[in-house]
Amino acid sequence: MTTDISRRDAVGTVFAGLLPAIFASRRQQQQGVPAEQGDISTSSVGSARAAGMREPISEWDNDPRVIAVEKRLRCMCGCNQAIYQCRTTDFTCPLWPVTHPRIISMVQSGSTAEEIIASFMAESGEAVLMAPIPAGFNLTAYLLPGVMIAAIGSAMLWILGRRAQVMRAEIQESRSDNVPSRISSEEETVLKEELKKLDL
Amino acid sequence: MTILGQLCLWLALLLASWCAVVGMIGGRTGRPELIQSAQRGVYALAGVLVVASLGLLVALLRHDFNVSYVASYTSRNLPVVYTISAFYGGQAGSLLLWAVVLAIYSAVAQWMTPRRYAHLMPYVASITSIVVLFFVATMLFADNPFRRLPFTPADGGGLNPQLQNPGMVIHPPLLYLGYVGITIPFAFAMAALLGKELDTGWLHAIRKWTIWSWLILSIGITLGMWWAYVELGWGGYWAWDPVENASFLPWLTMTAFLHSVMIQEKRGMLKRWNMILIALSFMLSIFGTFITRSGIIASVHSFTQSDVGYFFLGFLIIFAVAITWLLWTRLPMLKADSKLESMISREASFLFNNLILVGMAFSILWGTLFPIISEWVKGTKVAVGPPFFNQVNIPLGLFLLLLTGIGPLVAWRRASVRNLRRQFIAPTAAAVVTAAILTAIRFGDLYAGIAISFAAFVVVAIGQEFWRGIGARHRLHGESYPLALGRLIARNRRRYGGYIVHIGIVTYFVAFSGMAFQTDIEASLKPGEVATLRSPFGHTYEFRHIGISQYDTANRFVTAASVEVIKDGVRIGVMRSERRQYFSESGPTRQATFQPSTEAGIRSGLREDIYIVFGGSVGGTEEAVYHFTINPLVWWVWFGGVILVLGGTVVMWPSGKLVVARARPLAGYSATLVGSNR
Repeated sequence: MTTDISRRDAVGTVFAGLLPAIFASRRQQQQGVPAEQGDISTSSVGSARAAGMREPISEWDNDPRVIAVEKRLRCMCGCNQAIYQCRTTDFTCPLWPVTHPRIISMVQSGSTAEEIIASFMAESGEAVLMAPIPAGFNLTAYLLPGVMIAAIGSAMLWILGRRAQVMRAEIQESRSDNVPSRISSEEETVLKEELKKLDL
Repeated sequence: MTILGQLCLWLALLLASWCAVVGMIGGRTGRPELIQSAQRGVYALAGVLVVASLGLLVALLRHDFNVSYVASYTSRNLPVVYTISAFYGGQAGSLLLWAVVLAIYSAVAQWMTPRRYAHLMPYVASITSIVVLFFVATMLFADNPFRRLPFTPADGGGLNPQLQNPGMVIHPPLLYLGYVGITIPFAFAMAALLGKELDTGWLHAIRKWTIWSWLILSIGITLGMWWAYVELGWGGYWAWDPVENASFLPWLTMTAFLHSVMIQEKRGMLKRWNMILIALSFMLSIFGTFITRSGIIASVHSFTQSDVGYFFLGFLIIFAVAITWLLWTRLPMLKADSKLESMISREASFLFNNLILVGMAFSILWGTLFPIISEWVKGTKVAVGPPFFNQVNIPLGLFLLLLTGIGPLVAWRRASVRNLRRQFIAPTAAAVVTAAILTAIRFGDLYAGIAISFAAFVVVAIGQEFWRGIGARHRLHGESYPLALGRLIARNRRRYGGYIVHIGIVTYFVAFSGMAFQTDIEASLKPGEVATLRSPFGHTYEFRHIGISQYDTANRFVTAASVEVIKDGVRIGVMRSERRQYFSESGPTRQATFQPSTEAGIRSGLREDIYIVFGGSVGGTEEAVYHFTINPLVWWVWFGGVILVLGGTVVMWPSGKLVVARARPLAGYSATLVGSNR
């Protein structure tokens, strides 16, 4: 987390050397150096990796239809996030730079959200969805918890209701047998006062 | 020191085995020398594990890269605080943390528990030692933190950048303190079963431990949310990740236990259910650790897949069988002392609260495991992400929120119509008025609207309880209102502390509902260019890109992008987001370690947070790609945590009075008379 800084601080640090860094980074990639293990003995390569290379944002990147689809599709890079979250968070992911333009082009060509999702599912199966389709065996995922709670709740209501009924009958019976059914108003007042003191 | 640490682990293995056996035999036979030996063994066990932990700590601080664990999780340029936190940054270290925390807890339990519970203590020593034994054995035979390399690297691999955050220094130990803390109430419960001492004594003995573990687990989870928010950069704090879920599961069952245990204490009911709940909480805490370590479910938080998972699976199966057998054989002794008298009573409302809490735990567990179940049944993989969990759990959560308000309003045993009317009229009116206002202003989200209306219900319900209590004290004792409030809480800390905790929970819910109105935009800006975003509270934010700067510091290269933030035409400051490339140094060269990471720029306010993520530079120029997000009410999540801690502290605060370890006599007269007639 970073906090506010002054403008002078922000622009004070030298920006020079970024372009050579990019070239160094590209050269490094061409030479087949693994991305995680690149030699950064000169600060330029490390700075290029830290800068991250991005394409400019277009209005399609903020298109609600694109975002809606991307929130329903999972990025298969292993981040467990939706494509939309991955592309706005994980700038090292190798997958969304492929899937995101594909979704944009499909939206541009007039495909509906369902058609786009179906096309992704045809390639990667159901695992590409952020939530399983509520059909067939998947229904158990959606319904089982609710059904169980409802069933147990109903059973509880029925069993406890019956028990409470029996208990009330027993109490009535015991009252009529052994103890006065009512207490006097004086006793009730004393009892209430004592209970208040007990609790407060 | 590492040799000493290694020796201590072996010694711990022997000691834990000794305590497990001797404690059990001592408990059964009552032989004082065996009981004393088990108790002393527990102290010794804590001592040797503390020494082992110090051994690892010294190895970390001395950069002893010949130790595999030190080489894997630290580097020479890692700041000292993160070098220390690397203790639990890897799997072996976190196992050692589990073992040492449990051993210390166990020693404290032996030392602090009053003598009147002495009959339970040998069993408690035995059970806790069995759990420590499991963790020590897992370390020695599957993942040893003191394992040495055949060579000594010049530098280590460094700590994952996402763990280099103050939140990750505090969050894991607190989570462990909470997780591990559940073992102590569990051990007492098992001791009560083993010793057939099934009155309410064991409940009194564990009261503080239960609240402690629940409270610490709550803080740990909240800090985990804070870490995810500030560090992961996706703008949220809860993603229903399997590991997040794993921490939430025992919290839910412990919350259920905290409520149902009150029914057992007051009415002698739910004895079996309480045993099941505490056992379930313990098993879920181990299950959470299993999920993190087995690699059976993909998670961003998981440790590397290893054989440790099999150890945990074996432990879970053995304990599940043992607990089931123990419960089954003791069932006749766990009969309730009294019966439910009415469905409209506090007991009944607590039962439904338990049903929802355990139901939520089940739905989260089911959803978390569903990818594996689906693969077994259908042979196809599915992903279960936030859309699923939100769909299933938000309605349950809302119902739970409502019950948070209903529970305290209903009388014990049986509520009369008069009582209900008197108690419910104001909270219901508050909820209805709130709902009407939200409808009138065309509040955009149904669930959020329900949450806020229910929150109003709960707040008024609790406020009413406080107000009546203060008023009664004012009338009865002539105390001033502030004094009456103080004494009201002091006289019944558990009740009013609990209400404060409920206010904390309500605050969480209101804060969660804010996320339904999150707004965001992506923009690439050249210096001087502006992106505009309108917040849900109607403010217009302008973000003017200032520029990009680069520098290297400590153990990383930093690329920082700065924006000037203007709210409704008024400049409110400059915010900065960073991309970082961490490196390690070996001789004259620097090696990049891990992938570049992002540090979000966050400006928190009571109403909304401004959350800025720098995505990268366009073509190596000063044009920057940003993701701007406005997150409403996030600050209230952290504030809810503070209220929760405050309430928990009130509940736990020592009363100075001796608590008599005897079951409360049952109030009223009917139950006894019925019993005596038969």
